[in-house]
Amino acid sequence: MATSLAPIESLPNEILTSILSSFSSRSLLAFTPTCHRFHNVILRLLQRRLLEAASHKEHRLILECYHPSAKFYTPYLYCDYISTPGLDTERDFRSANSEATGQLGILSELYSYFRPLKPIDNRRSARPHPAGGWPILPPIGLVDKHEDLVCQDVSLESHELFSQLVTTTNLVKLGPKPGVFKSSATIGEGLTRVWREWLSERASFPSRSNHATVQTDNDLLWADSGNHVGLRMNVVPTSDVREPIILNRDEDPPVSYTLQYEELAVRTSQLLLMLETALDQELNHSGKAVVIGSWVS
Amino acid sequence: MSEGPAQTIVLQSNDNVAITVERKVAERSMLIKNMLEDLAGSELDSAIPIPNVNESVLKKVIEWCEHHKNDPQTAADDDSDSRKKTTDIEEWDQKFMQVDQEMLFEIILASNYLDIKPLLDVGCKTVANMIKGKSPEEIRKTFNITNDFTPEEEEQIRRENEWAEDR
Repeated sequence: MATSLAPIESLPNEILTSILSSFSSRSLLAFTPTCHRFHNVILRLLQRRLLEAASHKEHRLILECYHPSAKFYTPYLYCDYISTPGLDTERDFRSANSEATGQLGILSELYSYFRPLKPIDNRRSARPHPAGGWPILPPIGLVDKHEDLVCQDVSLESHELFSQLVTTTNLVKLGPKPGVFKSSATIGEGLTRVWREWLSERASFPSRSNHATVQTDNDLLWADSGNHVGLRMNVVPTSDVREPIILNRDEDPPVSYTLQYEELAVRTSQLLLMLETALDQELNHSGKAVVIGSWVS
Repeated sequence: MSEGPAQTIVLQSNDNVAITVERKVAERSMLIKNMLEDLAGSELDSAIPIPNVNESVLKKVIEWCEHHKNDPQTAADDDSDSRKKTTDIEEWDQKFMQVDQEMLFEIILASNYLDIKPLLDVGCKTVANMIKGKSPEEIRKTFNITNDFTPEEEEQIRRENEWAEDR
């Protein structure tokens, strides 16, 4: 019996943990089917990393959300970390520590919530186009209509069934100057349709901005097919819609709504994997910077 | 710091072999260093027992300490992000670690017990390099690990560990 014991079994968990902690999370995931011990040690390492990734100090999440026509004029928004239900508290941690299989799947389904912040350094403000002249402001952009939440107006003409929103979420490491990032990794990117029906349905819900984070994800507007990034928005009808002069019976009236960005939900596992991509970038290209500019090339 | 002839102390392995080493060499072990500091002043005439380590492993560990006795003491430990650490090992240490697995793990355990952080690091990196780039099957084979998952469990884990499948 004793002779069949593999020498590696003699190592205590702390040592196995420090051996494995030099690996990226992607590599660790690939090692999980080795045996129970590897699986459990890796599970704990990943839990710790997920929590660190969500509340990482040096890296910020930035959100760009715009109508395709407003791509070059919409400022990017920094997002503040709120919470990761299921990871934040000691109790969550312990219950998630059970050693059964299935935990890896649960970890990959966790989301971290962020609050998009109003732009401080508004990119629309006074920046001439490098080719000369000033950019023409598009009809759709961010509006300053709420004291805390970032707002955006969406209008649908009577023939339109939906509007479109491009949502890009990047993880960046701040550089020495605003707008200069030491690294940048895309977490999610996608084009979402905001349907007329969805808008009117959402507008009939009361605003929830003063409630605590609600943990149902079915009211999120997903920005990508993998459900990595979603936005939770309040939809408020705007009063300044012109009554149409003529409206056919089979035509919908033009509508206008204000979207209030309440929360950005990001799949925590995706955040972790992209954080590591960013760390990698910093190691391999130290010295170079990523500049996200607003000019059209 | 005492000048003159190098001070020596005697370590005793768990199989009762007394080994005389230079004090400076032995002090690479924080356990021994702290112990000697606690005993400062009193004359040290008996051997220090090292109950967890046998002669062959202790000699190996002392060999490492001998080679590294003039290394600067490692600064306050910052393991802020071990993913940034490389798994590079200096050449002498690489050769030193070319031992069978049993010895390798015993060195790791001994350096953990004796609190010799740089040796523990080298040991961990050596094992990490043995794992690097291998599939679970290859890891099991390398370390003679039995697969203790049922086929269903293994199948489930292989589904669950695809965190980034749809990108």
